[in-house]
Amino acid sequence: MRTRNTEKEQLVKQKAMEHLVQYGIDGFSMNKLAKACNVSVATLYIYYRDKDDLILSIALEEAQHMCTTMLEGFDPASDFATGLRQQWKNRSGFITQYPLSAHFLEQLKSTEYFQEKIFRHIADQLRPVMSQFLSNAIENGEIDELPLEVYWCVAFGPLYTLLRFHHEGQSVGGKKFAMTEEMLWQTFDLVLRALKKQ
Amino acid sequence: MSINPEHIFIFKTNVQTELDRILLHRTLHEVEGIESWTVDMKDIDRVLRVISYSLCTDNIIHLVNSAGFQCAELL
Repeated sequence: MRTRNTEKEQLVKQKAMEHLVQYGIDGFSMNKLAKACNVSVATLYIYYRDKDDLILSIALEEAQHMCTTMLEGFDPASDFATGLRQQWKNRSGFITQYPLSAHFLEQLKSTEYFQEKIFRHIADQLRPVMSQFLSNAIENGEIDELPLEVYWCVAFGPLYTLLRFHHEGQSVGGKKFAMTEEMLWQTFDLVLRALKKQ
Repeated sequence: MSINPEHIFIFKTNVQTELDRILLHRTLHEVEGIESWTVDMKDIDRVLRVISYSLCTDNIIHLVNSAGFQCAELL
């Protein structure tokens, strides 16, 4: 079958993400993917030039989706607490709603080729908005000027740790764990307290 | 603009190494009628993908064979 079929394309994207997360980039094979999708290897190569092209196309689409989700309802001109809360809402929403996309993108961070192509694309979209938000907060005297990395670690580190615990179903020392909304916002309040000037 | 699938030819080959790919390049790069071609060196099966508006499957197989490689169309 050599015609484009949207349903099949979606299946290929879904299975490709699953395989990449499961087997890693080196263990990912077009043959295995074709079998999982019940299409011929040739069909995959009609859609995509090669393995890198396939992974990159899917990753760029997912990265775009992630950026759109992250910026949804986010106003960089809003006050610090409101903006950061929206970021927590958007980031946790993306990861809990689309865990496969999140892990797929995370996995690609370890490969220089994809790291460069995909994460530059993400940074290009997020950086200007996030920088503006941060500059406003500093100018308005809401937070202290901090090295970006320090700000980021405090602002989002706890969020991603909680989400990782939640995804893995266990926390410190293998203790069973499932994150609740209450825990998420309890952590957020502590982060806000740490960053906001008293 | 996406290419009409009729003009995309996919083959299984025994191209294995970068040197093999260079040898194949010597044969294919000057062939009139080949718009572009790639061997997926990152995938274990090293699939050859050729785009041509004028050649047929047999023409391409013959060219690859003449470069010293096996070549069979993947359907």
